[in-house]
Amino acid sequence: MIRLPKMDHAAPSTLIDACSLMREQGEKARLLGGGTDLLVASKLRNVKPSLVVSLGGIPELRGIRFDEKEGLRIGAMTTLNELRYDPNVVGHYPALAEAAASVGTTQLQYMGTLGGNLCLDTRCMYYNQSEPWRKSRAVCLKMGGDVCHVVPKAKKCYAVFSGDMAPALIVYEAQVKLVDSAGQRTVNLKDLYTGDGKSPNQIKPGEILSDVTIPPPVEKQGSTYLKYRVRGSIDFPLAGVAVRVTLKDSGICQDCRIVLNAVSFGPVPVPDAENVLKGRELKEDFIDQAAEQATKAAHPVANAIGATPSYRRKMIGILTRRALMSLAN
Amino acid sequence: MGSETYSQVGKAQPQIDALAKATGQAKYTADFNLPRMLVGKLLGSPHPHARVLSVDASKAIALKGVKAVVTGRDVLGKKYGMFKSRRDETGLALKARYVGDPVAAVAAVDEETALEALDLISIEYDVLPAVFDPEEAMKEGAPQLHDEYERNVVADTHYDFGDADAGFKESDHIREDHFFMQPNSHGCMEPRGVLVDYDITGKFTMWTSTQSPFHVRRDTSRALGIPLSKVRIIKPHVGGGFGGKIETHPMHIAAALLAMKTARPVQIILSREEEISITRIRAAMQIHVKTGVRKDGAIMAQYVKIIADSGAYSSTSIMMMYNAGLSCMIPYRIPNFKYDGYQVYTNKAVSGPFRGHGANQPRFAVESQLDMIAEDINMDPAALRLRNASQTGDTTISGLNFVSCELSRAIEESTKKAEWDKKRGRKETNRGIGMACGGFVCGARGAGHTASGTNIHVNEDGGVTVLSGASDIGQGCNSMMAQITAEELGIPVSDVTVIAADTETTPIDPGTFSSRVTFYSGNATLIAARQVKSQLAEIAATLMEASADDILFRDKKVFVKGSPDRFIPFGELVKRAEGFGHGRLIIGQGQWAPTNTQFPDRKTKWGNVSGSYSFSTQIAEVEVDRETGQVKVLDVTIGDDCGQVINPMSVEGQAEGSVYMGIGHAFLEQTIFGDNGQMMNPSFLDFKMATPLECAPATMVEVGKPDPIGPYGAKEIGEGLLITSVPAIVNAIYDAVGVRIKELPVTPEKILDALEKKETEGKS
Ligand SMILES: Cc1cc2nc3c(=O)[nH]c(=O)nc-3n(C[C@H](O)[C@H](O)[C@H](O)COP(=O)(O)OP(=O)(O)OC[C@H]3O[C@@H](n4cnc5c(N)ncnc54)[C@H](O)[C@@H]3O)c2cc1C
Ligand code: SF4
Repeated sequence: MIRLPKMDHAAPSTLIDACSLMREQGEKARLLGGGTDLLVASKLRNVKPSLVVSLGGIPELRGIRFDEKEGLRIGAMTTLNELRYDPNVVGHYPALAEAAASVGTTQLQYMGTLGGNLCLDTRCMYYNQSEPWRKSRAVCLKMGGDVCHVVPKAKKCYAVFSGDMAPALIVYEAQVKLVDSAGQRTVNLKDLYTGDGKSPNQIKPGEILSDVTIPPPVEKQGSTYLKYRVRGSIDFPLAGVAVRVTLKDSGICQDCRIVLNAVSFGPVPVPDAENVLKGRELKEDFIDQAAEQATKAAHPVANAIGATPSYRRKMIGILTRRALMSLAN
Repeated sequence: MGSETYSQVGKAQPQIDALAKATGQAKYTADFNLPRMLVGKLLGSPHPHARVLSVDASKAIALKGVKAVVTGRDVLGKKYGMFKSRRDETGLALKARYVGDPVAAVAAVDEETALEALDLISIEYDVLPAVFDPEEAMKEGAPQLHDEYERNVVADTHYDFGDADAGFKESDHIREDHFFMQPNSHGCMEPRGVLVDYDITGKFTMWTSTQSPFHVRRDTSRALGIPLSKVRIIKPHVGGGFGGKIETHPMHIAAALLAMKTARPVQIILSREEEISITRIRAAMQIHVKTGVRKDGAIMAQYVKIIADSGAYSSTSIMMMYNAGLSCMIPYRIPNFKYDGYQVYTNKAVSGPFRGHGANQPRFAVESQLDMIAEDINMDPAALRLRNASQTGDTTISGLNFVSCELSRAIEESTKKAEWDKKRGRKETNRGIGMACGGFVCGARGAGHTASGTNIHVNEDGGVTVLSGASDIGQGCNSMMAQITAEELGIPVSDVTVIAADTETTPIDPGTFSSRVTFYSGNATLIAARQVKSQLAEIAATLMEASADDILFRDKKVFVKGSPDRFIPFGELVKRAEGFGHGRLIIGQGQWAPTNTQFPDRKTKWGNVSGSYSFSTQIAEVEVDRETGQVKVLDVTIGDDCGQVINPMSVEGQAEGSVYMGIGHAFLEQTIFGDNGQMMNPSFLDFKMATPLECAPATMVEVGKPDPIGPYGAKEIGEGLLITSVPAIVNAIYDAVGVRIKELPVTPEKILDALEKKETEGKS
């Protein structure tokens, strides 16, 4: 067993208190959701916070609220297990429930929060290792060094984003609210991610992701999230695809969203694949073309145990195809 | 196999420690604490091959709470190891031979301080060139790991039985194929650990997670230059071993040294990362097989060549390479057999014994090839195996003698149960069915002592205590001994207490390996229990005025045969026995080793290493997704001859465990090494073992008859079944989609590549 390093713990009971605490403490403080990512990273000494600020005692960060006109509002501290079984989520936004059900294990879903999942750190087999393990190699970009063990001569870190919730939320046009002691801002979830494996999201130190909001469901909308991982449980995704399609009465695809997971620094929307389908009937040959575009958009690198980049790419195509076929039927 | 004549044998019952384990009361090494105990930690080398030039531990020592630092200079440099001729470990290395190789250790008041201290130890290394591939390591001029072994070949085993060349000449069909089986971790739930107490008289007492307390005692005494009798090893509950915990680990030596230096108890518990990467793994093997058959399927000759990756140290290399070749001759009659086995050092984690001990790898290769041969000569694979199956009474070309063998029945019954004929060859469904056969020793005869012993004493109230040196590591041998004792004395299992193992109080025992425990310790227990029984029967006979031969023990009563009303309760008999004569004690003492074994001749290699052999057939059914290459195992059917089953529940557990582990070995488990030989996946997240979602239901058909030598006729099931799990699955995949995976693990990508290749070949 590896132990946690010494750190202080604070449990504010309001969002305002949490914000001021974060401002006072600066970069040494980290927010604690369910801790299923942060505490593992702390044990491995990937991060060394001197204070963790638990968000668990702040009631305003909890809960799922659905309104037919306003849509869905999910507090950042809502657990994945709550999402997985919430009747409104299951009924109106099934891709979200499916994504939540696919995360890690049941135990992790009980502990893991939506906020933590969206702010999940990127992963790499040279990074998610203990401190003694990492001593056998030069310090890599992600830990502040100047080499990459995966992509030689890389100027930036290629660690992979593998949070399952973000792609599923992005297909529903989700927005996130970021709060700090100075105020708040709302960002399209799609734009939260930076495209750099080293610091994958644009949340500033001190900012807290408080809510996720999704517009009301559209009629004749179908959506799903499919994921590939080595085992049926425990494992992180090696490829994932979230899809939402709205159909006209004629069966023609009116709108479509396709977002890939676990093949880049962040979720990857694939407009080229979406454009293939828009205005067309959801038929096998178009679906194949869309899947091909999705495959083209996936650029995984050799940083994960379990499958080669080329197989992960192949799975992106297959999952896209299977997801669209299931919605076509 | 229940029996009318037995009260305990053949009756399914939970392990005697099941409740303690389920409630968390069972105590493992990490659960023990002693007053003033220090926490020890190992420091591993960051380099795959490097000489330690100097160590500066002054900063570590200066840290508050640090009590001692030891390095390779503190050990004597006396080499230890399981086999006298291959001793190559010293405890803490002066020359590190793989990333993680322990070079120093600290003891501190708590874990945090110990970890901080590790960071403060500065070591100057002379970094040496390293080699990671066994075939590279065998080449002239390759970096040499151990001075004594040129070209890094640590085991070099050859057999030449019969006349292989002539056998190939007589063959109508010959195939040569090449296979690879991957390295993997044992994946024990309990990471190993040790707690050492060093007392004023110079005696060490060690509680440790081990499969063989007596080996650890021997090695510790050697490495530290202290008399054997000054080391006492106590084995508490152990959370799995699978072969990995047979040997002594650097933590044993380091903890003992630190305890001696500080005069305080020291405990070292390995982290999961250490447990996977710096203990033992299963050896990766390149396996070349050439087999010749006649048109009717009769095997005429076989040649097997293996290159095994030893990693940085020898471990049980000579035994493993020996067994790898030997095990090829068990399930089938092979008139001519030739074998070249090489085990080669590389700068990677150490390979060692693993459930199946060298038999798994060639079994996978040979059983795969047999299916290919069956197709070539247009024969059903089951029929081909039946044609060659070993039989009771056979003596192999190498001298192995099978006093009981129900392999043919295993094939017949399991194919029937699995609906083999109906299910084979339905490629259009993407479902397939495949089989494999195997056989295994019930304890291999080693040099030196191999016997096991059991002492039994009867307490005043009729409760019985069994003392044995056997190591229960979760497989259930304590329950087996309790059951045998209860059977003989006609008492419930709950009246038996088993104490095992403690080098000071229990009889010497080689340990848990080679599937020897039920066979050896079971027989030793039987002898001891029968001694107790005859002592009591004599007294009962006097008391009830009957002949001792007519005294029966059953239902906690002692009867006169034929008169159910004439009995004395067991407890009362014990009490009365005490006052008998001069006031005697009731004690039984048994030791046992088979007498029909013969240690293989050094030159000819002829000999019979085991008193008996188990046999099995395993049939797997799979479904392949042609688009993704992913495979689901649907069902497994087993025909097993493990002789008379003593506890069906334990046997079922072993069978299911073999299937689940086999699924992991076929598809998932693999220790992966980076370009510096460092293990890339030393965690349960990345070293992937099957979860219940990947497992398949296993049905077992018992086909064994009581063996003439095993206790009540019992043989083994712990290892012999696992060796057939993987090839059965791989053969089923071929039946499903027509692709043959020769390099393990089977990954979806390999299946897709093979399917693609097949398609393009089909077109051209
Ligand atoms: C074995 C294992 C398997 C896993 N498998 C998967 C998987 O398949 N799919 C997957 O998506 N994840 C997986 N995870 C990762 C993790 O469990 C989940 O992503 C989980 O949802 C993270 O949520 P959390 O609340 O536990 O995050 P935490 O660990 O609490 O936080 C994660 C990060 O987000 C920050 N953070 C948390 N809340 C907020 C907030 N409100 N505002 C701003 N920043 C915040 C934290 O500071 C931290 O940097 C796995 C983890 C493990 C250990
Ligand atoms: S991708 Fe490169 S830089 Fe990023 S974590 Fe992995 S090794 Fe380090």
